[in-house]
Amino acid sequence: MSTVSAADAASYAASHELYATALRHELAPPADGADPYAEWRDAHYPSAEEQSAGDGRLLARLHDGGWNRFGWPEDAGGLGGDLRHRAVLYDELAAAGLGVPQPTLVLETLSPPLLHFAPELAAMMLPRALQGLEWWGQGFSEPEAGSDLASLRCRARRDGDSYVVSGQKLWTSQGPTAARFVCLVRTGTPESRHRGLSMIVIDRDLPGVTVRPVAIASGRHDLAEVFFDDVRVSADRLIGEENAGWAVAMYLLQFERSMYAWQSAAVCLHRFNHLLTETVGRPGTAALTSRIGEVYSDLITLRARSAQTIRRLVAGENIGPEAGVDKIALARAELAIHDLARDVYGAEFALGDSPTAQQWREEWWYSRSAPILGGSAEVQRTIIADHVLGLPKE
Amino acid sequence: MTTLDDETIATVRASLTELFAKDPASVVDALDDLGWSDIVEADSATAAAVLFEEQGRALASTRLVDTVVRASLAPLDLPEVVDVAYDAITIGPPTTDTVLLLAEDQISTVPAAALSGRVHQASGFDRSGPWHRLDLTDLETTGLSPDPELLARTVAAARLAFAAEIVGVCEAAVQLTVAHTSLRHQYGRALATFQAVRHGLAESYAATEHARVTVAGALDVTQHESDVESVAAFARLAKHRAGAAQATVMRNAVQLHGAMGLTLESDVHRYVTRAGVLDVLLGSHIALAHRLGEELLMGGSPRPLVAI
Repeated sequence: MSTVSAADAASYAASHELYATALRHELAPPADGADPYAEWRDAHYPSAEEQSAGDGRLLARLHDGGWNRFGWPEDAGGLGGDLRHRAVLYDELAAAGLGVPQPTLVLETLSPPLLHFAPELAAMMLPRALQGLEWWGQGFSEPEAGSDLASLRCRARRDGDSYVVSGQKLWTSQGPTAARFVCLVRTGTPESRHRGLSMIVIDRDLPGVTVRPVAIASGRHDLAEVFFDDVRVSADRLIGEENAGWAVAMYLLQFERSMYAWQSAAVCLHRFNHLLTETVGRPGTAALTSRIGEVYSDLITLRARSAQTIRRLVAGENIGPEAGVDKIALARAELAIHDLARDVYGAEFALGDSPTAQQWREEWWYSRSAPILGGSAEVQRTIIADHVLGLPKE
Repeated sequence: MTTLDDETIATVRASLTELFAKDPASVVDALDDLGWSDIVEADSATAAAVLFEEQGRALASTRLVDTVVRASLAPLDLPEVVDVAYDAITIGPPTTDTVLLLAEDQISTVPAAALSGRVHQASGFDRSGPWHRLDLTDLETTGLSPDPELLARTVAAARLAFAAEIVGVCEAAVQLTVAHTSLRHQYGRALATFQAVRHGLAESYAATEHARVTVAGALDVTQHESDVESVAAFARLAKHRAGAAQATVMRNAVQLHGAMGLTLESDVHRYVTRAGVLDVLLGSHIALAHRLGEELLMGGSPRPLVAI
């Protein structure tokens, strides 16, 4: 492993293309000598908890060399550059078979609002996240508030310099091992809908926080349910103003739509490559030829769209309801490649006990979340109908 | 990644809309007055996308794609004006002394005189279309055997022009369907207030935008990428994406227009049939999906094609 020198850091920060070239070299398996990234190359972890820990170690390793600090401001532990640098990091990590560290999926969604609305919190939390010392969960959905997010009920009552939080959150990715939860909570009246919400950071180790891992159908604890029982949270943990949480959430969505899609596309393209190597020569493959072409097309369309959205963000544009188009591309690509893998492996997918079959089954189940999490397929279509096409309301 | 600002692109688009609406036949000449060569110089990818999208939106019939092919083949020292056949399909009857025959793996020429009795107006599906088919059975043609890279780039450029045109046809069909379903009432309310209708329209819109951004990405790679394999693969993929989009968009357009959608009295059929012909030119989305799959199964690793 090499360390980025101060002189190189300045030139990489100034050019994401220079950074990409250097990073590709850094991450490639060395021609001779020990592979400093051997532990993570095409690694498959037996549980979500071990995956989080392994990904944390990868972030620590990258951070030691300075490699994952580009694209982040210096005030928050970064080395400068913009969103494109981060997109390059995930693309190169995935291409090198190291995967996109799971904690960065949430990091990419939550950091932009932290940096924009709560720079002090960002300065405290981001450096630790970049070192892989902690990762976060996103506490938005609740048992009674899924697609209708503005109906959420988890309550935060102001009491002196603190908020007292009571309620629960559900479907929190990384939840089983997350160190903090960034939650959307109700600070207004129960009827206030989106006008009475606030965003707040709640540490997992505070008294009154209980985390229950949720096993998805593969058996992995990819999600969690989080309970808050009169949890006292310092008021300086607020992201944005009290009752301005909806605006923070809308700001956040721009990044969730673009970078999460790009990260997913990078991982899927690597997995697709892997699938193709396994597919060649298998009986029945000829019948899947067109499907293989279609999946490739879906993946490249997703890359093209999310890259365009990232470039628009870099140019200072706001991403609005048209981001539903990105989300639809993401869901299609995720579903299509995992359905293809299922059909390529056939009986082995259904009944085989090889690690390959096991991994594809786990990923297949998780891929089913693509048209649900972060706004369901149906909600995306309604948003496009209302706000892009301007159709008369239902 | 265009070097033209949004305002310039919007102005150019507006001018093209007007030109295509007024007199499609004059567009080729009118482009000079518009300073088209400067626009192409500044950003050939955006210029091509805008030009052919507008042609598609207007359902205009021109030989503009022939000019794309001729420009790409400039190194071959061809006659200055030559009509092009795409897999033996021409846009209008041949009017030049020599006709250029372009296909995936070969390019050749034939004297127009030799085509006597072999040119058939192909009104077929696209009744008002300009299409003509050439019967090339046992016809002697002159193979040009150009540099394979030049041929691949030429086919890619023509494919992307057709793909961009499909995007324009789709965009117009979505607008037409939005207008129809917003105005027409059943059960006392506009059709577009029913969720099934709204979601169909949203899917059509998303399919069109997916095609647009994929074609833009492929055009951009054509402009900047030196690796011909990437250019060719991305062009096939973009044409696949556009062809697949028109299948979705046109199915929804006909369905959401109700019975009116399958009449000559509504304009919907014009979009359906034009997009249908554009889809088959130089490879339908069905054929291209198979081709993309075949290449990957032959051991080609999936290129990322899009960079940040």
